[in-house]
Amino acid sequence: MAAPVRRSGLQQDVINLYRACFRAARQKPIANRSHFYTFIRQQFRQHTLKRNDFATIEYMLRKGRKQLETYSSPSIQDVHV
Amino acid sequence: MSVSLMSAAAVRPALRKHIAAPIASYVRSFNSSATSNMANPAPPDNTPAKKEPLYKTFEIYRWNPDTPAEKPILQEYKVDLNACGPMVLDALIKIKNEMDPTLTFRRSCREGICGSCAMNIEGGNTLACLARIDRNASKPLKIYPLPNMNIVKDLVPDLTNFYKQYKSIEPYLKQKTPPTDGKENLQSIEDRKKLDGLYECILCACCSTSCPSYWWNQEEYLGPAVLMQAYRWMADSRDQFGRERRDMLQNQYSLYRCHTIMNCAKTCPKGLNPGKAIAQIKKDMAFD
Amino acid sequence: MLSTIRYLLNCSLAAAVSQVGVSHTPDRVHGSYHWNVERAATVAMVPLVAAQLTVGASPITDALLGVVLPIHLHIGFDACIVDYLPARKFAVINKLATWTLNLATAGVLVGCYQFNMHDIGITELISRAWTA
Repeated sequence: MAAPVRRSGLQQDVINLYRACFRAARQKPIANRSHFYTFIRQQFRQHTLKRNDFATIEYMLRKGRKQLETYSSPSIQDVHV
Repeated sequence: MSVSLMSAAAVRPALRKHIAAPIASYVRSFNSSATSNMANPAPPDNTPAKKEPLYKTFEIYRWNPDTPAEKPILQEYKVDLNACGPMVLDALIKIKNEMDPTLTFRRSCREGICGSCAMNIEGGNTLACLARIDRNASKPLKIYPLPNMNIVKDLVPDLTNFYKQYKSIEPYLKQKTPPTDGKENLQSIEDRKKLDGLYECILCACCSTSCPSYWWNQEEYLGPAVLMQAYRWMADSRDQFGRERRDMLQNQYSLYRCHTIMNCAKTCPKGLNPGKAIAQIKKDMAFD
Repeated sequence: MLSTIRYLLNCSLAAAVSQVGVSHTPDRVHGSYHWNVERAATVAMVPLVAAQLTVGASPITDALLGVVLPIHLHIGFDACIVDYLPARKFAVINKLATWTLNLATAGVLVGCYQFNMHDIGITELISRAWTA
């Protein structure tokens, strides 16, 4: 088995957020889940960022967390991209 | 029934007429440049002589969340002070209306009661609507958003945490026993006086964002504005949860990160003294 | 089973989302008691220093100052650590700094005691250093 990848704290934060987003999306109605998946991927890929541009990555993390907080609410059923 | 309806219907057109006239005049004067502000019907021989334009440079912090990788910049705008209202907010509105509609800032009441337009002007946190423009046109006027806050866009800071902290102190009346007459909570004039200097706070966040302790520990330290509101409810004679409210602050961070730096009292655009309120909480807690 | 999964999921969601509003359990030792000791140490310094200035070196003020001064310094440095190196942001450095400070304060307390007992005492040292 390959050695586990060593990630920086920030990289791990981004991955944790990405997974939390998908976990939240899996709580949505089956018919609409693909919309959430598309939305999440689009949110994570909309900017090409430099690896060491910490300020921007932290900003995107904050923004992503805020969005997640909004759409993880059970009253949110669907998303349109 | 039908009579009252009739009378209401009879009154309404008259009301509308009364309201309509002032609204029309507001609409006319709702323009940022001073020349048109003075355009109320006055005889032409009374019009003041047109002043020479006096251009002052405004350097304003700009950052766009749509291009997050681009660093924030200071953008320069030249504003004719003789065609602009006296306050910094007037200049900002003029810039947004006439030069750059993408400039983003919060504003609402333009008279220092809503707390929306809090920003860092000439190095101090204050309300743009209460800050006069320095008429010395040789010096540029620098405007930044509230310091050490996450920025939403340009001059708009993210106050989510600030509001969450305010919510955490339960800023409403809490009682164990209902009022004796079952209707109202009576209060003596002396007890009411204790709330003066506390209740006027408009939660503009000028003080909290001027506090170095809040800069370093805003995740845990409540900050002057919220602590002063916490004290406002402890000091209220009608509230019966003072002890519990104080117990919530019994930890290293929530209250005791205040080191009496007193930037809060210095910067408060309403002239309040959050530092004093915090000192009162500390004193009360020492004897709890 | 399902509720456990729901619960775990909510926990991880909360961990990813909630970055603000840390809540604390009430703890007077870190709250008002700490503040009272801090003020008491500061207030106690006033007569002690005044006595030194007027009366001069005395074994009593030396012994008291050998306790109060290190406590005052300890609380001051501790506040710096809590302010600038909070465990929230610097888990390891915070521990390291706190323990370094604890050890240093213990050392200073012992040192002051030894110096007051077996040597010239703090006040005398300062006055000699002043005139030297």
